Amino acid sequence: MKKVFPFEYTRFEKARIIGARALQIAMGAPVLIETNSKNPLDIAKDEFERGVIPITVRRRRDAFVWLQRHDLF
Amino acid sequence: MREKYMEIMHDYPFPEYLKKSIADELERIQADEETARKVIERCHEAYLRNLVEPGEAAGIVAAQSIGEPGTQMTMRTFHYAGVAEINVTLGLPRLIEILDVRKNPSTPMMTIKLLPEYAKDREKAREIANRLEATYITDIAEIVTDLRYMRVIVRPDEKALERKSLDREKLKKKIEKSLKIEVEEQNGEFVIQIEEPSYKKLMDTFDRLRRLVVSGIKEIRRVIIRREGDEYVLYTEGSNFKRVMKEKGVDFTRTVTNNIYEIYEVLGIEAARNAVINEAISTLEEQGLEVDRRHIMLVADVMTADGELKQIGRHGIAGEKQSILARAAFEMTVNNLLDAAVKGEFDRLNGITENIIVGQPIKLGTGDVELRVKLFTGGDK
Repeated sequence: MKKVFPFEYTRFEKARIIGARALQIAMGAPVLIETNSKNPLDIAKDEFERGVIPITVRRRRDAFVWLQRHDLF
Repeated sequence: MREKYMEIMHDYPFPEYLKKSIADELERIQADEETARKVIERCHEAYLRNLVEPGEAAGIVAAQSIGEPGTQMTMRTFHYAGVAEINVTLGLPRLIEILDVRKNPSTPMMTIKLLPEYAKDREKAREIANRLEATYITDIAEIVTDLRYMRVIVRPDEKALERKSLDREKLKKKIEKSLKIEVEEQNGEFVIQIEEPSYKKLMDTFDRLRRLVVSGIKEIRRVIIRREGDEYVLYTEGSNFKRVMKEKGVDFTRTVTNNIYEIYEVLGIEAARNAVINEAISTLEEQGLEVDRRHIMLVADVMTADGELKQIGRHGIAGEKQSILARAAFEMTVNNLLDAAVKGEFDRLNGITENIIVGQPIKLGTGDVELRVKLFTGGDK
């Protein structure tokens, strides 16, 4: 039996995406949301919350897979 | 009702033990199906929240979680709590012993449970204890050397013989078999005549007699009988798992030893893994330290993953790493680098340690994330 876990970014992925986006914004990329903030990191966080960052991750597996004992042999 | 609970949980990715404890709890509160479903759904949420995320440095966390309480362990061995007078290595020395997979731990010990027909009766338990405990000739007889006639005389003590349920005939046979010499019986004494008049030979024979195990298992130095609940349990100093398991009256399914290597040899790698976990947990617990089981499970998994018990250290996990740099970073830096150079080894820089040494981002946590362009961004993730 394989149970697919819901897709969710891990905290590492989240940090990496926000980090990359903040760097883009800091270097002058157009901001994708309405905001008054001047801090690229805050803007990136906001963008992540709204789901507008054009960055995602590649997973070596699409989702976590729970392996039963007999799957391993 | 329990079957119903288990059925609901069938497709949930819980480990078996978790399913069991959820079912227990549901049974205790007499939950109907609807409540059960809700409870299980909530458990599932909690379970997902508590999973280790991919990229987490689980090994480092485990190492720290065992290491910190480890600093508080005291360097002492003392009497085993509860069991009369059996000395057991405890604390840090014992933990080191477990992780080093010593073939001969300093205080091997067994807990022997008996089959139902023996467990209730003190006399029968005593009988098994007698069969197990190593009995030397010196325990049941007096050994005297006679220089004048170049012979060794064994004078059995009738009472001691009876206590160990032995008789003269058995004793005589045992001596003859081990020394390969005819033994004469002269008015209740066994006389062993040395053929050539050599003092050395006489003393050799004397020493061999003294070390001769008449009955029992050589490694089992002492057996203590204790009543536990409604049954008698044997505790032994010294351990020989294989032979004790074969002994009649011993319930080998519940008999354990604290010699992990023996468990590995007799029962195999899965049993060894469990033994490592249980021994480590009980050693830590005994010192009043609480370490989450899963940290130790990780260590045990690493030790047993290849199908053989490997120690943590130079001759095991750390010494067999495929990366040269990782090995050099652990111990014996120069030797490792030199040997690798001589063999012309190749380092693929796959691991963490190597990449830190060469100054590259490591594949862990944020470093393990591969970013891709997301073409569709309609909002709401």
